[in-house]
Amino acid sequence: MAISTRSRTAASTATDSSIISIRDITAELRPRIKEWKNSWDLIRHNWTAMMGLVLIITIIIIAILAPVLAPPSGVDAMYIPRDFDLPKPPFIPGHPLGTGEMGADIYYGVIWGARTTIVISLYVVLTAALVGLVVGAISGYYGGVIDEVLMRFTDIFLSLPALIMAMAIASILTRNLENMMFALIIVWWPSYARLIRGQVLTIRESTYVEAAKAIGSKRGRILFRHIVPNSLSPLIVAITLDLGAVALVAASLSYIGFGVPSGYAEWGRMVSDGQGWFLAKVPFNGAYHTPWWVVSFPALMILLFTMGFSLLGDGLRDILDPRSRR
Amino acid sequence: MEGSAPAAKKRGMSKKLLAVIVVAVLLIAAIAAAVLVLGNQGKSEQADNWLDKGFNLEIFYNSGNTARQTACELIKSGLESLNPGKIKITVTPLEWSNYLEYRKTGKMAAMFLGWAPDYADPDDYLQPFYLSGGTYASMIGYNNATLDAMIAAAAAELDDTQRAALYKEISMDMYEECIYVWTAQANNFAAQRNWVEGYAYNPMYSNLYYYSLSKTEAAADTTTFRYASIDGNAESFDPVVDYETVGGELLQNVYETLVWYNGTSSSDLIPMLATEVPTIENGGISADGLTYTFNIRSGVEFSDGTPMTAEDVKYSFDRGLMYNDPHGPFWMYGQVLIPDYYNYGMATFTDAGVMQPEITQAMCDAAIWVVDSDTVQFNLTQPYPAFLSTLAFNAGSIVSKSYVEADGGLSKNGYTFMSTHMMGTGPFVLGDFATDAYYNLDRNDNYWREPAALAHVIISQVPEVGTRILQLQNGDVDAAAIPRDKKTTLEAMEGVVLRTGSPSFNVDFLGLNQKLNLTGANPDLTNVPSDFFADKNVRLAFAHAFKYSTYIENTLQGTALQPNGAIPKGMFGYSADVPIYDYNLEKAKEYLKAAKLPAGTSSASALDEVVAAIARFEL
Amino acid sequence: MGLKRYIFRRLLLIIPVLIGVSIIIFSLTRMAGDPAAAYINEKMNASQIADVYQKYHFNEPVYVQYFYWLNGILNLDWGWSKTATMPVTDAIAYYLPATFELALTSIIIAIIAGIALGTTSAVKKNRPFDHTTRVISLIGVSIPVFWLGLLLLLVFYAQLGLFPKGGRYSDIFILTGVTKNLVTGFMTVDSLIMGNLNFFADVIWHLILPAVTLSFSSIALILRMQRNSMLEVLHLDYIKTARAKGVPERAVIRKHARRNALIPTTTVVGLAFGGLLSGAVLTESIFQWPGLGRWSAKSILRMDTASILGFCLLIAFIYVIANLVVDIMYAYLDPRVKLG
Repeated sequence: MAISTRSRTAASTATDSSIISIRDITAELRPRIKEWKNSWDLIRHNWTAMMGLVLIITIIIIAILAPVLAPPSGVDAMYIPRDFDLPKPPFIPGHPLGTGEMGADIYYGVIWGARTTIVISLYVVLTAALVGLVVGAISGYYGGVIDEVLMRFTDIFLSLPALIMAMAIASILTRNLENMMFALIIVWWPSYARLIRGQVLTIRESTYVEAAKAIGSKRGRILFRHIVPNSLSPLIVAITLDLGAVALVAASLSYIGFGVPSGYAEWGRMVSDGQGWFLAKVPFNGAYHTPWWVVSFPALMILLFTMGFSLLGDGLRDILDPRSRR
Repeated sequence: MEGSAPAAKKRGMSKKLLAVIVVAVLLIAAIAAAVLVLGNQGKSEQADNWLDKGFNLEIFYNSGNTARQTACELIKSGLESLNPGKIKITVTPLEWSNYLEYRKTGKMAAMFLGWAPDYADPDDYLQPFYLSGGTYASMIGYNNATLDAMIAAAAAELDDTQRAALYKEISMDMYEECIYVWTAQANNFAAQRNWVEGYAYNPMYSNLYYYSLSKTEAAADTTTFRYASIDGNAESFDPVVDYETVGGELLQNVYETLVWYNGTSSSDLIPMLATEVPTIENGGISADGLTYTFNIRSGVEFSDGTPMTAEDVKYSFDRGLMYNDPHGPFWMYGQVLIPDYYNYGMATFTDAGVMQPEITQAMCDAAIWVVDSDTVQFNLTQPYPAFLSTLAFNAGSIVSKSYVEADGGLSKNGYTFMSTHMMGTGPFVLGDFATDAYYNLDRNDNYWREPAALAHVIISQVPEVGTRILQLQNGDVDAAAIPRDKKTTLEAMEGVVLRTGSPSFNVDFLGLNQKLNLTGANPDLTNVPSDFFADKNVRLAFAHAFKYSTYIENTLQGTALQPNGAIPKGMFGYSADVPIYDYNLEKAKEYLKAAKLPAGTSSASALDEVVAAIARFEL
Repeated sequence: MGLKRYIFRRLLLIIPVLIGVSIIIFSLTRMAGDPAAAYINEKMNASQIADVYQKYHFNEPVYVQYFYWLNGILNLDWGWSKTATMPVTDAIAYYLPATFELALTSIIIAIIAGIALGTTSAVKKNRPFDHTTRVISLIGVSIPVFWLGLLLLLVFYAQLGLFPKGGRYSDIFILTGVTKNLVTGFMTVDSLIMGNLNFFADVIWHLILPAVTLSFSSIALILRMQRNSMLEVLHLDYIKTARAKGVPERAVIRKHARRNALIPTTTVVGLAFGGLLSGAVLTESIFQWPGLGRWSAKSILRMDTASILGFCLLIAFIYVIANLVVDIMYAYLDPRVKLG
């Protein structure tokens, strides 16, 4: 998003020669983002970003290779095969990561769950962030009546409890993955809108914005070329944290009966399905075991998924926002 | 400035272009939709039976009940394997009272349920399951006049041998009809610390009867009994309203009934607030089985010190009959005490709170007589040998007339007051309670028998099973509700005993709705006609597609058995000769193949899909 | 614009928000199923069912029903909560104090830990301390709540015996009749009203584990926000000037940097607190807490419309108030931001 805005700025600066000197001043005052090519070099040398990228790419590869890594046997590949027995510990033939609630194969769920989680998290967070960004930026920058109307509108949606929106949407439409994502977007975007608005409020008072105003730049141009790109760093932080949070909220919706059904390959759902086993004991090979594996593996995947985006986000911010690099 | 004219032209052109693009996209979308719909139609017209056509069906269970969830998943896996890809079962959890709402509107196609009896008599199974208008029969839209007559005859039969024969006949017929899929009859399953003594399981109790319990010196605190229960509040503390086990447990410890169960036996009744159990031999029951006379125990006081008399007994039944809450338990008395009972509805209240009952005081006076200060007579409208058993149920609790009258009596205020207050003759009195948190019972030191060994009982709601496990393991609670699939957890826990092995009277079953209310149904989840289950072949297919052994041995960890019908093992009228259905997917396939589609189903369903699709877009 | 006038104007603006929320929720609950189903049972005949429709105005258009409901709201008749078996207003009065006490304790823990750790991480950027807090904060947001809650119970209750098993107070206060004299429902306040310091200590003791469990995700959020804004502030000119003038580093961080870095963090705190007040189903379940989360979840599942509407209005109200407070704090912390 930020990158494309930048390249357009460069092009227009080149053609508009009459006010070039003032433009240069604004360009100097405004933190600059390097070209994409340079950014890649920076990412390569930023170990946190690289680690995050490696984690994310690994999970994406797992998602793509799911049919190879865990060949489906049932009617719907997204449902985990089960033997309806007590949980069995990991590292046994046929069940490399053991089995969980109703004897569901944890390995299968972990592999196929990568698909679900990637789809849910990215779809929900990015859509919500985009909506929130536009609403928040416009509201914060223009202020006055526009701000008032947009913020009250945001308030309405922000004040709707997530669970209830999800319930209502699930009751009216169908209880499935798509509608759950729809419900999550509806409850998720307002927090981004407020976050961005707060950021814009501060930035619009800053020197480089004043300078841009002084040279008579149009308001929309100032907003989307100057203010928005510089408001992105808290948004990136929020997004990276939310990517994991969405998976967990999706799980809690599934847990009380909305969202994906029990047995669906979704990490959050696997965690809540296995909840009852956390402090239980199951016999295997003549000894009692606490079935730690039922929850740990899907939870670990959620952690890695979150961590991947978080590390990448931190790295990206360092690169995109040179102020914090200095 | 000069550039403005061409720019306007440009804008006009791009507008046209945009319009063309929009129209093109819409056209493509319309064609695609038409192709999809027509394609579906073509496909669905080929099959003439439910096996080949396949179907979508939603099966419900009450959320939090993992055993029933597994049962749903088991039948799902059985059915879906009959025609992979075409048969699609969705398992949907519902909170219990939402379950009740859905059930009332007939919106559930199939649902996993359990039945716990109110009184120990086969009639308390056949009535709800098979009698037209019975709790479950109405839920699944089942009517059978012949069967109704058989059930009525069996219920009124005074001779035990003949009565048992009648029940066996009904059970055999119902095996053939296969109205329900009977999945399990559970054993008791109580997790307690080993210092708990005096536990006696009676299948008729609502959870624990604390009077007989005590704790040995091994416990840190021998006077207070703590029970970690599941999440759930009592609907009401009023015995004429409450009809669930959370409130039932409180009622059975605070109130007392005329007769009560003898230890672990559900069929052997002992006198409680009566001085003896009436029989035909001792003259308490008339030879025609229509009048029951009870001598009321003297010297019994309510916990506030007022003496309990025959007036209190009559008052207790009168206020239940007159209120006649349709959600409540009083039907079991009304049906035999009030002529044409089912014609009467619930009492209403004026704005001032004055009660306007449909069942009047005069009607109650005809049914229940106070003969003298310690004798009460019940006049039945028909012989009903199960009447004594019904009197042992919580609804037959004797409340204090003076207490109720002091707080509103038979008025809106009186009933509201009694929903949060208790005043009984029982071994415990109600202490403090907090919604979603706990109920506290304190010993009634003024009790007419030997006062209870326990001074206090705290029943706390612990929604999370992991927390209950920790509390039990730590010995901070003396007993806890632990799900059956965690049986091995209890076995591995030191100092904890699992009391199990006695059959309960609870049966689990899958209800199949023969008159499905399809209003607002989502075709993605349920696309069968409303009389889908009216076809016996479909029901038989379902009965053969359930993996009984896996459910009982794995899910319930062997703490149950497969029932052969509505009447559970151990209950009067049970017959071991009634066969059971086996898990047999080949048979299930045959039956489903024999289940023919009604004429015209296929084209209608395609149209439904279009309508549903449009409706979804509009939202 | 004066602060008083600003607050007054914002309070007025709450009204359209509440109306918007109520219209949305009302239509959603009416769309989700027949609202009369809750009042009808299988034994009712057709005329009785018609009576139900008449009595609750279900036979009239939705907007008319809405005005009937709105009228009830204004007359403090919020309907009957079947889930809590008491009037909705009573249910709110019962559950809100429990949730409020928990949320407040939790956000205090989160603010203290989050800001301290976040500030230190920024100062010690890319050093082991920074990396450790980063990992901890990541675990904080991605750890399943029930897992964390049960783990805390396992360690601090079951194994070490340092904290109680759950609930809002110990059994002894039930048995001695102390809990029959509650006034406000805020146990900390009630115990002080009674002058019962043992009870007060017991209540605090019961608050800690659930509050810590609940604070984990907020700590992570606040920590990250504080770290980032701290990093940005540390590179601003006035900090450089301060350093150049020879102001000691500790004072630079405490007096100059931290205060300004708090501005974006405030937003997060306000929103996180608003979120905590809407209840936390899992934490409340694990610690036997009778709060809004459990009530609302159960109401939703049983389609208890009166409870759902009451709950939504309450949450909407809490959110707008939280936002107002955030905006005022914004202005207080950052003089550049003008209210209005």
